Amino acid sequence: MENTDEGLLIEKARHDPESFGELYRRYVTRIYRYHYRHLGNHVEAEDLTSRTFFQALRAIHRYQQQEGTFQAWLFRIAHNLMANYYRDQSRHPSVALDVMTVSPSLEMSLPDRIEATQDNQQLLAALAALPEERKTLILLKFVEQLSNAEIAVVLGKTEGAIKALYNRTLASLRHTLSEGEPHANTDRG
Amino acid sequence: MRTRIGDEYILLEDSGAETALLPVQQQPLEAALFATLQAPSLRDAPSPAFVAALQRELVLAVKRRQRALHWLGAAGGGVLSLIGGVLVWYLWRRQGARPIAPRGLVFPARSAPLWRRQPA
Repeated sequence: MENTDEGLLIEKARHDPESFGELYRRYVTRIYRYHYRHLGNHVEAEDLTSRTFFQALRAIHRYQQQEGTFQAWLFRIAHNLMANYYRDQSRHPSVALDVMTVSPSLEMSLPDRIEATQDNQQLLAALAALPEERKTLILLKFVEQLSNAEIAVVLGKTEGAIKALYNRTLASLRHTLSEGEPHANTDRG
Repeated sequence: MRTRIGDEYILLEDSGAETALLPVQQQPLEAALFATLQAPSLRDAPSPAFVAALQRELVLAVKRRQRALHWLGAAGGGVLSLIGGVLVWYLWRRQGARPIAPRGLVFPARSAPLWRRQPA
């Protein structure tokens, strides 16, 4: 459930522009990052971020705390918009995760840094090869640090289903990593 | 997991790619995921110009919506007042069309005290 401060802010945001602006400032970076991690394109990430907040503005009077936290509600809007985007465009981008570079700490020795970089790239490539729903689950859990209950709201599943999907995803990742190269996108969820 | 019966091993569990991991396998993988996905170079942020522009548009949209609701409320109130006025005028006209008799003459028996009523 929301903390008191955010709960009050949400109540005020239903009719006060400044309060909605404050909510927007709290979440804009996370929503943008969520879209960018999926799309790998700044322009499209900005477009979907903008649509997410306009839709939230139109629907905020319908939001109820009993149905989940505000951030879960907001990420659900973002997730639905992205699903629509994929459906409309009929394209499935080679996700940004595999083109990003992760620099290991400068305090490591050069061989360790090279090894760490290779490991990170391998992990990112394995993540990029995951089906969309599993990738979303991993991003929400490890980047946005949402709880299983919140992820369940975003993906429209039960908490138990999310736990099971998470375990299957980890097992699949480990299998992919142990094989040394990412699998093709054969299964969907 | 395998159980030995005599010289044969019987497979009790699916050992495919998606078998649940043991905690000793899961924890290092989760730590690697966390370290990789939380790396500073992956913490993308939108440009400040985009954030500011979108905030302006959102605040304007909220104000526009409020103004629209305000006018809608005013127009709705006006229409309801008009309907109420027409209804009052209509009732008043209907009332005015009837001959109005002096009050005492309309219901003499009811308006008279009980002890003054004439026996039938």
